[in-house]
Amino acid sequence: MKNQQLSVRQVRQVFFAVLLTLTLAIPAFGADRKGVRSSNRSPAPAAARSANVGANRNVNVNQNQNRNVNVNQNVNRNVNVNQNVNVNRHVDVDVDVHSHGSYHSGGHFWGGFAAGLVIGAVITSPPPNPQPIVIQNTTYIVSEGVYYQQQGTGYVVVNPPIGVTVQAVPPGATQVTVNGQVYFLANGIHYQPVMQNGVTVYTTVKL
Amino acid sequence: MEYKHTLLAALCGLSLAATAMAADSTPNSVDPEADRWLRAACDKLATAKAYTFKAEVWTDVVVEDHKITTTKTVEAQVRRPDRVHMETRSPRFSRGFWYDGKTFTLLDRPNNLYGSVAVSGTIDQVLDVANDQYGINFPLEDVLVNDPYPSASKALKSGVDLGKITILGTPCHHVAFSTERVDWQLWIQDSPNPLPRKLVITYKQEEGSPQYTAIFSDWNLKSSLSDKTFVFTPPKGAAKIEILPAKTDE
Repeated sequence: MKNQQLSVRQVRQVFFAVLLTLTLAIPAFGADRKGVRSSNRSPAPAAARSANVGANRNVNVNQNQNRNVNVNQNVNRNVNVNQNVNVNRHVDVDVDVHSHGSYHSGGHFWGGFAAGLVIGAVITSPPPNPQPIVIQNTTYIVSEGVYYQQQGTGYVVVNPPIGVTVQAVPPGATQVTVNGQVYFLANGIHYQPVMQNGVTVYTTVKL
Repeated sequence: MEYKHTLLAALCGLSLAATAMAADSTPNSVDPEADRWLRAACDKLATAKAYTFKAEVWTDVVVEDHKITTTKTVEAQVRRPDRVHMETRSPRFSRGFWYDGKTFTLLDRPNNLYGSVAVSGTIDQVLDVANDQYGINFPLEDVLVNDPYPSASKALKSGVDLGKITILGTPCHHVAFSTERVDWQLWIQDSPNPLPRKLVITYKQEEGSPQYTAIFSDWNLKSSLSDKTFVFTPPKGAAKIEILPAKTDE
């Protein structure tokens, strides 16, 4: 009986993980699939940018190679990082591939923020698909668009650094207007919404 | 009897297509009958001055080994040569798009944020600008362009006619085409109004070969759509934000 419950729970966990990832991967309008017409436009001037599998795969592999260097310094989770290649590749068919490898969250929508992680929250196990990055000599671990720092054996949710793009603003962010420009304010950080590649993303800015 | 012949021809066509696909350099082998149906459907759309339609769209998302199908609805209003309004709705990603001949606007409905870009030209040109410069892809662009046939028939390596079949109660003609990058199939209403009823695109070069499926409904080729239809009016409380150029790989 106990075993059965355990296995149901495990199944649930797997299902949830898949569900979360898929939720993040659902393409938006604007970030939609190409039709026959665009698929066959070639060589498109923006061939590197097109939703072409090969191009995307290469990009992400490169990103992850870079990240792996950091992974080795910080956490022994190469396997998960490599798994993320796949996740990113599909998420980014129209969206995420265009991000900078080193400064970007990984392009997931509604990540940990949506799961209710607030700044200062500490989790004891590594977040899913951690992507260590170093910005201005500070090491962050980015998972599902949320920035963490390692604290002992735990991971504390921190504000993202200025100048990075995230896919969602923290829970409780309030909309403010400064000089006619709309921002979302959370924990003293201003997030400027912009549309890029057909979806709304948020860049942290210093006002 | 006729159906049998058609089926036989189709099967032959498929095997020919398979042979053609096996040898990359083989010239295209598009069955003239498949081409005729495609052209009829495209011409029907190309000659419509203004039209509206609805579609339900299923898009495969492949994450690791899981393939899941997402669903959304699309409503489109089109007026040749330079007006489009589209709405797509799904629980998280409802979007509106307007092109009024001078500006295109993308509205992120859940966030109530919109961006506009000054642009001019035909529907086709604006789709290309949105795609190439801003990374915005369009659902069902294939039935939006001013003359769908040239882009649909371009790059075909093979095409087969698979005969008659009924789609949701409507007698249709099924044709299938293949290009280097995608396989695609069209079910065309078998009537004096040969309109698309169903479209399936298979992105065969991608892992898991995800598909994009659209079922069309409510075609109206006699719409009279006023200029106002295509002019964006911000919803209450909507904020304008910038549309950045497409991020490219670096």
